[in-house]
Amino acid sequence: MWGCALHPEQFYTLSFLGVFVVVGLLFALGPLILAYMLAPYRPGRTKNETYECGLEARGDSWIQFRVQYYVIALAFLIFDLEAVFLFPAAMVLRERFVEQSLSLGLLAAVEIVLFVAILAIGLVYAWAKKLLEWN
Amino acid sequence: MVGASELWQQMRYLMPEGLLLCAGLVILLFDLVVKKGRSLYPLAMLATAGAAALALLPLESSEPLFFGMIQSDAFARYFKVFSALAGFLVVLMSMDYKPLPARFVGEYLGILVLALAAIMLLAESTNLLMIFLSLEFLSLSSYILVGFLRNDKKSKEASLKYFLFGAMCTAVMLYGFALLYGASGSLDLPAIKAAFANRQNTPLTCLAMLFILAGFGFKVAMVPFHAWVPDAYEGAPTPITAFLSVGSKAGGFAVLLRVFFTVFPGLDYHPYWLAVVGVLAVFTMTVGNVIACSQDNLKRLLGYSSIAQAGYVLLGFVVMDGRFTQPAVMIYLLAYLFMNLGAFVVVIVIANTTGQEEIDDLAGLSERSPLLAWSMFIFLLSLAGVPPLGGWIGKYYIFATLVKGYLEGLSGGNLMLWFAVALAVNSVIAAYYYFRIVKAMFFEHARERMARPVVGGPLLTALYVSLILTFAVGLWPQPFLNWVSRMALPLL
Amino acid sequence: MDEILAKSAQSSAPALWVGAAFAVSFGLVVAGSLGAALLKNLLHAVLFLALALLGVAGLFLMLSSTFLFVVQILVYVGGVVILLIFGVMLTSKMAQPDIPPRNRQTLAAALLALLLFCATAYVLTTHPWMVSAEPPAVPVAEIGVGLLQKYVLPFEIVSVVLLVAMVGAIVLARREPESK
Repeated sequence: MWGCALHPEQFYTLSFLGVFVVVGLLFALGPLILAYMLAPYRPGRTKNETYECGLEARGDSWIQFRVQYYVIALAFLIFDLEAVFLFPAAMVLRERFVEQSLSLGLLAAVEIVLFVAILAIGLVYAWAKKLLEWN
Repeated sequence: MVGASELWQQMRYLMPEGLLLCAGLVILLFDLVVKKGRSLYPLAMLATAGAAALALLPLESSEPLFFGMIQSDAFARYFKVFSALAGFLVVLMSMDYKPLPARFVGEYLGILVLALAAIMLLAESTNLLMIFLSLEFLSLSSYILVGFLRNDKKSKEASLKYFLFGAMCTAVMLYGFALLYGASGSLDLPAIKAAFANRQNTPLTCLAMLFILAGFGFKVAMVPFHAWVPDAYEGAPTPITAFLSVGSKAGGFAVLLRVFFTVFPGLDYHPYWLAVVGVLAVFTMTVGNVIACSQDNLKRLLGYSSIAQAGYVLLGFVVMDGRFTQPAVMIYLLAYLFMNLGAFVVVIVIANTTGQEEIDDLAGLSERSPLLAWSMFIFLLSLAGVPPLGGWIGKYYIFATLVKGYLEGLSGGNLMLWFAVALAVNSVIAAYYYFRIVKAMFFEHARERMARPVVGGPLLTALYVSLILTFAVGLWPQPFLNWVSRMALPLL
Repeated sequence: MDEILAKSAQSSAPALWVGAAFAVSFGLVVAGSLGAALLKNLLHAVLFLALALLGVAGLFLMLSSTFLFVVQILVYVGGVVILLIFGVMLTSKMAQPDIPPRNRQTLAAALLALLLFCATAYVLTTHPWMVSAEPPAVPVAEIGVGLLQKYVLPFEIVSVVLLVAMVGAIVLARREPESK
């Protein structure tokens, strides 16, 4: 009825996570709420400036960023995904070698290496096209 | 436990797509070392030709391969040959396509070759996950290829629209997969079929199928999932437009056929379902043909025409009978491959000469280049379904399928007669806009500054191949029909 | 489903808490999606999308797919959203885009979406689902076995797809270097 398929034990384990989230939110939001309630509020022209002392801020803070950030974030994401796929595969690799036969272990290893090698072409590509250099 | 040797044995059946996958990766790598991207063209041609040759080898297996992910049967082999052949012609067409940025030829060819492998994988997938993955593989490559003219705003717009539309349709399709999984408890198509056998029709399966149709319909440009076609076709580099109109569409039809033939026969409501598809098919061809009449841009016109052609092919699905449907659809696609690619070859030559792709640019083509004008004439006649050309054979078989379905008293027979009438009416509408082009080529005079089109070797080769095969399918259809009938999915 | 609830009631993991956790996830998904679709400021829309993705992670957790839960947060909230934020920051007028998120077709689209929702909701609620008594907890190692056995072909194809995505995005997004 709630769409929940959690085991009671799992539920207990995970309830720690829930407590952690709630406490974390309170920890982050609490001071803000307190400050809102307690702090005096007297705005003025100088007080509203970005830096009360220092350089005068000009223009908007919404500025256009460089494309390079995007490319690097993209490369990060691709390898993030690679890690996600590799993690479970790597977990069974040892078991394959030890508990099953050598050939099955080698097969699994070859599959994993192939996966990484194909993605490595992407890294080589980005590297050779000088996308990882910050100029 | 399946070991390395079994998997290695099964790899035999994956040679064409294996070759293309390797070639794609090699092209991407070579691009980093070679100075001139043009030197990669022979590699791409070799890869596609090699893949076509490998796909022609009679290596097929009706056993499920790779743990039921794929089934490299004769049906898949047909689409492998198809995809490699289309790829070869598209590579030829790209060689002399001027607007393509020379700096990115390596990426272009690499992704194109990989997209061909994606079509092959799509045609042989027998598992919902594998279908989704290869469909996304194909879509992703297509979005990128469409946007390859980086300095052309239209190309960027085309890519973005295609992507947004595709993402939407794929999401709906994925939801349909999830529902289908929920209803059957399996992702493997044969298992889904078994789960549905002797089971009552439920609203859930209906909804799942409808959602799935959104994803496949998007690939084949079926109304109402056709909205991306005009902009994507116009903005894309012309060889890629040609690729979308045949390769990507054939991939969509392949997976549609397989899912229809694997999953549907188990469901007891498929007559209604076929009526839905039939009505959609009629809408598809009518919308495509009517809007095409008012187009002035050649690529847009051919885009709408390709929507209409998808409608004709979809009509073949209405008769859910293995003896008729599959050969009709497959022979139609084969004829369509050559006539449509041929028409796009002419468009490329015109665009290279005048810098744009309007119907006006064809004015007086019969004086400036009789070869091009007459070839275009042939391709258009074939697209319109005039005997004795390839397109006629295709249309004839679709028509005959409908009439046979009516005569044999299949369920929904009366409806089929109406569909056949709609097909005839639409052919007349289509003839109108095809002959608008013919009129421009033969009865209008060239503007003064128009140069004589120059056709280089690769484009000429593509033109002749398309021309010869358009004639061949029309004049000697029997060998092609025999071949296609042998390649049909086994009846269930 | 009721059995599970009964079980959880016995072992004093109160159904109320389960319901509350579900409601929070669900609320996050709905509120986040609405914000992502309707807000004019692109950056705010992306941040709301992050909320929605977080909510989806919560749903995965409720379905006891702990691996998917972690992946969802790692890849979507941690990766895709960051990429989207960079993408938004690349656009020149991100705070005040010229194109409003709504246009003439908004009403029609909303009606269609509502219709689709009603149809789906009706079908999902009336279908006699086969419910397994035991929650399907899938250990991570089993996913690994799947990737190396049954799903080995998709596993390898995924790497090619990721490669194409990367190369393609670079080709499309990269600035033309100064011509020499």
